Amino acid sequence: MDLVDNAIHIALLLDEELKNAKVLNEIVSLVQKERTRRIVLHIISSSPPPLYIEKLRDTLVNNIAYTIIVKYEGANIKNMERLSSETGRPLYILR
Amino acid sequence: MVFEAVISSDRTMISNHHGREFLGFMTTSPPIGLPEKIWMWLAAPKPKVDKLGRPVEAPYGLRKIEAKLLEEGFNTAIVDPDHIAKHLDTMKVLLIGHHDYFAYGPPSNEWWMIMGKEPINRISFMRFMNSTAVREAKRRGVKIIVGGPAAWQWLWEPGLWKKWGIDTVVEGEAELVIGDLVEAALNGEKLPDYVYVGPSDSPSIDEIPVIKGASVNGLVEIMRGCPRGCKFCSVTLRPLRFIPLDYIRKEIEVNVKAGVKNVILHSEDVLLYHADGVKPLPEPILNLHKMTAGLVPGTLVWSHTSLAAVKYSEEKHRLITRLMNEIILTRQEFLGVEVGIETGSTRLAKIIMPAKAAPYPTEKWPEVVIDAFRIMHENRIIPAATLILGLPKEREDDLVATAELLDELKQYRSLIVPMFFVPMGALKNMDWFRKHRIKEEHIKIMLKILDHSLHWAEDIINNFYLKEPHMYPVRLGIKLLIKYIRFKARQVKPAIEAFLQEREKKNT
Repeated sequence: MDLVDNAIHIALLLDEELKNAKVLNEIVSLVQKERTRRIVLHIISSSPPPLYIEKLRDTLVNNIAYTIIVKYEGANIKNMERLSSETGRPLYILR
Repeated sequence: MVFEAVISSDRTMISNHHGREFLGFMTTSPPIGLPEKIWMWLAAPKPKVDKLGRPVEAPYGLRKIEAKLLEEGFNTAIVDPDHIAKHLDTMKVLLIGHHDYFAYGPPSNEWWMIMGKEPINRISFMRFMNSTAVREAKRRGVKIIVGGPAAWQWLWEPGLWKKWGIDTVVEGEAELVIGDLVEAALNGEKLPDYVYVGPSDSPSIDEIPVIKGASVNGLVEIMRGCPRGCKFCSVTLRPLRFIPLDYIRKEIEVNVKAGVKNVILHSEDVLLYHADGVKPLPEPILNLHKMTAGLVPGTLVWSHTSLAAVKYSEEKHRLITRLMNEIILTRQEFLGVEVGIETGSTRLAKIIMPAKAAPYPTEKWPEVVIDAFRIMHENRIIPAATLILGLPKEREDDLVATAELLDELKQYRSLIVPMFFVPMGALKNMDWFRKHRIKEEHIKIMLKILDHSLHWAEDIINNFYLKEPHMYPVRLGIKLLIKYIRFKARQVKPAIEAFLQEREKKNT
């Protein structure tokens, strides 16, 4: 997707209790730093798709300004290495 | 013909509602006093389809998706829900759109709360998703992409999202992403679970395709976005774009060619077409209507307008009178439109919709509403008005102001629909909301609205609506329904009043 190409890539570890407001604030500061309005959220969670959405919902609902693409990347934190090479772009990690 | 990407929805969406868009609102309610089958026939009859199951008329949003995919070279079509099975052998992607998948939007959630029964649009959508054809499609590996104005509701239904195997939920204007998603699905690539298209990725005018098939009741878009910035509305987040006249003309011609005789001009505020900010200008509005009237043999309807624009355009330019006398009333007896009152309280208006009264100050909001209703009444414009109850920070004096405003509006021909502001967390338990959040003042206002709307519904059906001979059965059904609601209201009103008096005594 064209939108993915120009996006900032963020890996989000979702297993712990997510502080949605904090996550959104961190996302906002990252996109401002990278001067983009597009975000790909790579979800690492033991909750399978789409059930992890329950934890992420407040973040998604409270975003109105940015394009967000959410992808599930599995439960294993090691997947982040693969992700980093696949996207070919800096991968920010939020937890 | 082979369709790899099939676009569809349930019956409440794939219908032309007997050519009367307003009857479509009946799909937001549970059946009242009638068997479900008859209710569905009244609200959402089956449309005409060709031998491949493609409806002659289809929802405008689905037509846009279809047009975009066709322009990008995909084999796609909108298919009626009863005919999906015909395409199981070729279908690789199923795209579904809806106004209100789970009845969490207005006014469905109000009817659900008030009546304690699931609205028919929810029941119908569930039936569609559980149908043999859709389940078989999923079993064969068809990717399912859902979107439309109610896409947000899936965030509250991850269980059903999983159960039905929805691959991607797309929220926002989809023109710039839908081709890539379908391509990825056809190539067997893994799809994202959720895509939110932000305002900066909204399509420009050049990127919005002209529809290729007729839209339901001839709806064509004249604007996207809205400049008023009301806090309860998502449209206002989108950039404001005026669709050029030649583009609107092309879409009307597509509809007329398919045999659709009427047109619905769609915008959040029709009178703001090429306006000077929030001040309507006569020339673009008159040109738009002259062009439209020259193209369609039937009637002309507006989807929405704002009350401030009605007042300003009439007082400044006599635009409403000119428009109605010179163009619209030469071909029809009335004009229907949706408007938003939302509240009678200037205090609350300042918080939730600070620009709704513009170019008038918000302090004059009740006056704007009354004047606009008078202007519409005098010019045979019949508004269906929404009013929001239970807004955050709502106080008793706000509700008193709203009740007083309703008294002032009694004399003006209109239908008023109450809507509850629902905090999303409460959505999953409608019964909880019904029992604990509705205050006495809300009930009093709802009773006022019921009286108002029943009175004017009878007037409208007797003097304006469904007058053609072939519409007689529908007209009879609606008349019987109004009588039944009046009868039931008379039955329950004493009990409600006694209950309110009892609560008042307890409080004092």
